[in-house]
Amino acid sequence: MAKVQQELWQKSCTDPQDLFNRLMFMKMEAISKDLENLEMRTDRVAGHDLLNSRWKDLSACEETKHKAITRKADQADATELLRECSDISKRAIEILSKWSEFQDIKLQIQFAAVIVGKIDRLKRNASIQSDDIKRKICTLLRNVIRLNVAEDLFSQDQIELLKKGFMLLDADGLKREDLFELNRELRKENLMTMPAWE
Amino acid sequence: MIKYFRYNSPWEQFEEAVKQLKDLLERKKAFWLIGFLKDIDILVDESEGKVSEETENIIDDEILYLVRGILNNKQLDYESIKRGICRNYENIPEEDLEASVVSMSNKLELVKDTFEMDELLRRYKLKKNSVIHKMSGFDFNIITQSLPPDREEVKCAVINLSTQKRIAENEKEKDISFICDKDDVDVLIQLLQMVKTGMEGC
Repeated sequence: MAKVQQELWQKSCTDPQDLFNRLMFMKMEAISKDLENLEMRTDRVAGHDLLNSRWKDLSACEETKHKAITRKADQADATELLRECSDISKRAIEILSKWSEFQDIKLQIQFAAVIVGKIDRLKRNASIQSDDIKRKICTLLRNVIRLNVAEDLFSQDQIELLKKGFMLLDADGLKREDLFELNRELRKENLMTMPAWE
Repeated sequence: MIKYFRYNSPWEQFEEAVKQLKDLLERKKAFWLIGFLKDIDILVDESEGKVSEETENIIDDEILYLVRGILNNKQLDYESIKRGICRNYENIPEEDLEASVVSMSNKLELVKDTFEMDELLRRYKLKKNSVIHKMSGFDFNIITQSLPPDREEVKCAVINLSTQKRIAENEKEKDISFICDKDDVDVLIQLLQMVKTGMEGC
């Protein structure tokens, strides 16, 4: 600080405009540095601390790391997972509505790939992974799309059934019977639900 | 098909390019660059051989543009895409317009579902909101030095790093260069490993 004041004093004797510019520049620099320090204040592990201390045995850290990851998975916010699942299902229903507006096999293949992408994303969601029925509904919908997409154009009723499947994925308290019923309805609409050899 | 429309690649090729990129990312042969070296880009390790030109074009011209649009919070719903196309191209037959909108919209959905967009968005926000410098350049030269007493030739590297404060803006970079030998590189790798372990919660 003393050095700065001395510099300023020397300068002020010569050029007031220059003094003002320098002052502003120093102020900006100081604010910028303060902001950086503020951002770095939390959980700071200084590099030189790391170097001064003995080198950590990295393999010994593996166990702790594994525990931390497991803990994180345990603490995963269930509400957030359900919300994500619901958002994906709703978006899939919107896309199915768009799909039903087109009678074009090329576009059907695009829409089918997008819907399969949604199902794959749902299958990665922990709330689906932990629910046996919802997981099976995902597999059923995926099979139906994959097995029938190149056969013929999906009818309006068939697309409605796919929508129903996604609605089930967004519903609570599903029973095994809901899955069986969806399977029956899909077959009644002449959709293959599993490969012929099964 | 609209002439010169960015998202004109055939659907099957686009799907294949997405699949290939996903595989490269999962095998750590490709990396998202988010506010680190580039604003939003992909770095592909070509040690296994290059991807086909077709795939490379789709990654650079379509996938990256869609990801940039998503991360920059651009409105990319069906109607906005349609408006955007109508603004940029004149006299498009309704059939072509509809097919192009559907195709771009479907490509966008596929990209959103295939790549972890939430994770990329978090990384982008971290860099965008932080006032701390971000790495904007990395370069190196391998040089040979003759050292006394017997003028033995030793290879070493001069590494140049640059940083800048804000991403997505042209601003002056801060540069630093340093010389290091092979052993120093081992130390660097070990130090970076410690940083990574620290971030993973150890």
